[in-house]
Amino acid sequence: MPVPSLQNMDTSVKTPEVEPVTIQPPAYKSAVVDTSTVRIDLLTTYVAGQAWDVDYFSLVRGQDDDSRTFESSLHPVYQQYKLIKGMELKVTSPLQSSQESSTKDFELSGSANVYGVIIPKVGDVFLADIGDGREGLVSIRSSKKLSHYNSAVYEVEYGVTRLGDTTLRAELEAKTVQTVVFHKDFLEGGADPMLSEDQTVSVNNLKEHYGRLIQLYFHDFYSRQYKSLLVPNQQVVTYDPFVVRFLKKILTTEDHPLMRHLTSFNVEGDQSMYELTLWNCLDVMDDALLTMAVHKAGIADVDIFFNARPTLNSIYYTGVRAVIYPKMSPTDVDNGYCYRDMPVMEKLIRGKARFREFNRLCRTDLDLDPTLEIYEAVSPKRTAQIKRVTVDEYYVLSEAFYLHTPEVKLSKLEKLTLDALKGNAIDVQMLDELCTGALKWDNVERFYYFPILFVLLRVYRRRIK
Amino acid sequence: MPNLLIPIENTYDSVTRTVAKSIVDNVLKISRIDKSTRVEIRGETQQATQPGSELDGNNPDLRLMHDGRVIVSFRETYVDSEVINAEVRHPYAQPIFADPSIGIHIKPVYSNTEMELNFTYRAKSKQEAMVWRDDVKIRMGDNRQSHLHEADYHFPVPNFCSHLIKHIYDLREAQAGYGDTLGQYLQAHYTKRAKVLTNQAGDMNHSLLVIAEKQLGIQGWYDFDLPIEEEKQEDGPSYLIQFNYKFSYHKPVHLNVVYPQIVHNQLISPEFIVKKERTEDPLSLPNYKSDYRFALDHFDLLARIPKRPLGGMCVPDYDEWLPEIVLPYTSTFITWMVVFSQKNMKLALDESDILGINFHPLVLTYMQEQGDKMVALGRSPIHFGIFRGREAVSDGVLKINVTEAAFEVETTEHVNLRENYHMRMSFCTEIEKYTEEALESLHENGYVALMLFQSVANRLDVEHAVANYMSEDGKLSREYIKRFFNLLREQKYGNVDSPRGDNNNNLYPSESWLSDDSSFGFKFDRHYVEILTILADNRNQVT
Repeated sequence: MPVPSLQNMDTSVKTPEVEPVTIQPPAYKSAVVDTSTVRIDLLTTYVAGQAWDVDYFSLVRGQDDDSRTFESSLHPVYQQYKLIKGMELKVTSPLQSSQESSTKDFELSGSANVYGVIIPKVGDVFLADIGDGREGLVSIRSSKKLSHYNSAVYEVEYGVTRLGDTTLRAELEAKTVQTVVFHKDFLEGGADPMLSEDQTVSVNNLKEHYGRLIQLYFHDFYSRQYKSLLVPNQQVVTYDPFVVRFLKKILTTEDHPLMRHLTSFNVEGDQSMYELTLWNCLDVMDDALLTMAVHKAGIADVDIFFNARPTLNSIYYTGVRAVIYPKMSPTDVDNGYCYRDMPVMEKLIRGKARFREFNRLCRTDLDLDPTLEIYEAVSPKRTAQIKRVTVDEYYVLSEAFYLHTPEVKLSKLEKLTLDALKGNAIDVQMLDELCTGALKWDNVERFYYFPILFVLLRVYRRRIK
Repeated sequence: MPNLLIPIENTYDSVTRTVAKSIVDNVLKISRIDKSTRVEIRGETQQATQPGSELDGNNPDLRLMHDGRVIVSFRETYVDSEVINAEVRHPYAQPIFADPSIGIHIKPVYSNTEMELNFTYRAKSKQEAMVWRDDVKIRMGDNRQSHLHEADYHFPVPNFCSHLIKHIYDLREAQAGYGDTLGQYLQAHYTKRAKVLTNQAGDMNHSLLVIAEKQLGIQGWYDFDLPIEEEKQEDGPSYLIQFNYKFSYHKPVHLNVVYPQIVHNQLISPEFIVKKERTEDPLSLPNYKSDYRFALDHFDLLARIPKRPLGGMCVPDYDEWLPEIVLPYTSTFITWMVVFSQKNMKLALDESDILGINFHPLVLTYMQEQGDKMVALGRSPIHFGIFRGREAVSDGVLKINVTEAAFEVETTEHVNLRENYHMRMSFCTEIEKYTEEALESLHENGYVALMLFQSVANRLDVEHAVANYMSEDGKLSREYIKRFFNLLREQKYGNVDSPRGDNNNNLYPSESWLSDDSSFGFKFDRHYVEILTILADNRNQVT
């Protein structure tokens, strides 16, 4: 044999090891130290103290620099700060004021716990409301790490050194080299809570988008007659079992109350309805699954569900006239033994514009407006937000998405979806832009693309670029 | 020329700490202390910073009680013996910026500074501590207890200097420019050690111009007689050694800035012109002094250093120009800072300049009569001369155009706009330099002559002269004029009493201007012109 072959590792079967749950990790008793980091960020959000939102200026210093507190006359090159806007301190002893009897000077001091996301040190200062509507410049007097773990809470003592005014703000601004915004909800989610100011704007928008889009989705596509979601604008009543199945999995009644009335019709009488689709990939966030999923789909008549198998509550009797059906030869084992014919399928029909249909037309040319860049790119330099679902036979997204090669240009939605599946960082500005434009998309596009946006709006927090 | 001292800011961070760091590194190398040992130069807070909060990522996040550590705190003092007698405006200091063609230079002023470093060395083991102690002991035995160090540091250039240089550059290019960009100009005239610092964000709005320096030959020494013994730390393997190290260096503290008031015949902006307060005559101030203090007033006045060693009056009053040399036998009355314009590169003083001085009408008329005679020494008691930079241009380059109201002074050739020019009006004090005609004119115009004389010698009793030596048609007697010039000569050469004792020389016939050696018999106590009585609004007018 001229070509040497390696032993196939996959064929050697291993017995899965199930570790028993222990209260103390085994490394605790061992002499050997585990070098991996113990992430206890999630736990450190439960820190004693009362929340105090401050603008925290963390001194940027090299090893040999001095760590004096803020000096207004010192040149910005020699005193640099990283500003953390909206940093939350957990106050353990609030500002205590006392007047020195001989000089009549006031001393204001207190102490707080600080999340381990920053390392407070002597030399840091913060601007905070010190009561009476006045802002004060507060200097850190001492800082103590409360445990030896990598992620630990710090205890700081501080005192007010100066009352704030516009001059002080300007001086601090001149010495600021980086500005980030603290998001506590990210910390609770175990993600990096420091976002840039631009990202903060987008993230705040995204929080609003999520609720708004779900609200709109059920308003537009929930059929009260059929008690389910229907594909809009088709020639007959058309049902997409894959979308409904997916939404029932990711949404709860907390997201929308109509979830409790959302019916998933029985289509399981047909083997092809068990095929993997794009939605399964989004569910588990695995791009490897995409190659195995069904790429193309068409509309099959509901008559195919009227077959010899006895089925409870079959879709045939629900009044739905057509069903979205995979348009690729099945790969399941049953098909190998008992070949099934592909039913006659029709193409999905392009949906109508939202406003036109609802007769609330403000402008008639929305879908043709090139400046909006909603559908098609007008020049090679610009990227379209989305492509039409009906641009080709491929299910929901286009051929370029399924058979992606680096030189092919994807629409913005496809790009974000692929990033999400591959575990790459997600551009929040782009997502924000998509969600804003999404309200104007045509019916079929909204029906299919909104569920993708729901997923993206959930995963972006861990993947901010 | 303004000659200012500008303090350098931010020297604690740019000089003191960086010098300390250089020396500490060097001492650690000499002491063979483990290179990986963390070195902390404690600042004003006197405590270590939280681990992990520094930019350098090599430091561990967790530090323990018995890790190797060097903690250094320092104290900076001036060297006692050099507090008062330090050199400030040192002529041989190396400038950091110099443009001799304009006349601007900036030189740092150093101050001898002593620094004491207190080391606290925590050795990780007995072995390390012993090595240090043995090594120091052997060094002392080998007479190597003191060392020469090099220190790297930088100091920022104050904003004032940058504004000044920019302003001077603008003027330099505005008239008779060289066509250089600001960058080219700065590069050509700043030292090559000039650098620009910025912050971590690279924000050029907050950048800082600094001068990097390396100081050599800083001598430092271990400040102990016996190598310090190590102390065992409780509950651990580490040992503490505390010792002091001393050195002194020259710390840059000020910048000496010298610059011209005129750049390419344009006056610099008023913000860079230093206006000194006019000093009042202390004798005339309405204040109370004790009787004893009053007695000293006269000597105060005598001992007062003249504001302007040249004497006379300067136009404008903030002009700080001093010539290197003036024509001999002349006494300064007025100097003008002259700015030639591109339109007329010959006109030095126009009619309004002359009228602005407010000469006494008699004097002005006299000067109009004298005309071109005033630009050659001796042909008239009054002499006009021009100076290029600080040097006098010899006679023959000026001419005077008499106008209806006054006169104008012009040069015969075009001037160089890149140079500075000054005009000087003076009085010829040596009678031998005079022409017969000039002396006759003094005789003819008695009042003018007395005004000129009194301007030169302020305490001259002119009322006496008017009463006794003046004829009815306003002619001053020749005798008086001769005596006056003898007074000036005596003032210059000391007592010139003739050995014959009669103060009448026989070398000249009695009608000659040079026949008489007698004088008024007093000396004036002020050697420079203080009050110009030739001006119309002067309080010491002649009748």
